[in-house]
Amino acid sequence: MATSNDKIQFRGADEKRASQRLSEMRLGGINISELAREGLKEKLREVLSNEERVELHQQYLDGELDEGVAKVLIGDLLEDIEREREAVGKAETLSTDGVFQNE
Amino acid sequence: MGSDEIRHPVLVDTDALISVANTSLWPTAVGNLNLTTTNVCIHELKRHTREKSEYAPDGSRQKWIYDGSVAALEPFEGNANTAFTTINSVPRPHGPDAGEQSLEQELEQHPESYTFVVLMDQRGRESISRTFEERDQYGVAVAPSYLLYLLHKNGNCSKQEFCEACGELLEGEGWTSYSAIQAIWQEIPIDCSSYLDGSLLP
Repeated sequence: MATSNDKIQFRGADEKRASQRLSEMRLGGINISELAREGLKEKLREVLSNEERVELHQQYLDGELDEGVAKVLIGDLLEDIEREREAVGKAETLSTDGVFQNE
Repeated sequence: MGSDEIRHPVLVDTDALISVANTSLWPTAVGNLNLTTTNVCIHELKRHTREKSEYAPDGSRQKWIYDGSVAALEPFEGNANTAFTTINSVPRPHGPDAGEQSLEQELEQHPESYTFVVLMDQRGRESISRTFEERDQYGVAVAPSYLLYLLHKNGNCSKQEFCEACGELLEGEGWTSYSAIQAIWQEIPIDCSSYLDGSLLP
């Protein structure tokens, strides 16, 4: 289980050797920490169910989930909602002439 | 057809029609809105009614698509109804995204005719919005939930009916409509808490 300690430890001897091997092949090496961070983020998002995403979004709205964590877990959803809000905001400024039958 | 085609300011694609036609507000939409779609979208709805089974289990995606397609086709098929019109796409797009493409093509050819283009697919909406910006500035691409909101805004349904239909849309389309419905609830604060289960609420 992950703790509040910043450091996340993996038990992955083969993965470590694999990344070292790839790093040796490249002139500039590879940034293993960066890859691990990005990989973990991707995996966390991947394993989240839709229901969990909804629940996390609710926690975020209630102020029970801080922005950093929300961005990692449901950042794409927050961006989607923001884009939708802009569209709805714009739609509200437009004329509804011809939209309704009773006009 | 041809010059007789009526273009209403709301242009709707196949999946958006299916999603709204599956809510209890569809008869209200049929009685109050003017909607336009393309012959390509009508063809897609007809294909769904042939290929998806009427007897698919309740609650399955198949059943949702079948029922929605049947309900959506009805108002477009009556000749007397000028509130629901179909435009012929020339040239006619083909392939899996043909419906969406036909909307984009129609908008490029007649940008002045449309204010709202309603699509289920979010990337499709982004693409349509870009077309609006390039051609016209005036219109916007919105999600199907905005159609429900238009009915509420025009006084065609109560707040309760609006909220419940949003709930139906959320349950039927799941994740696809979540961000769109959240956006409406946040942008135009409508309190649905008395009508919906907590898990569906903003």
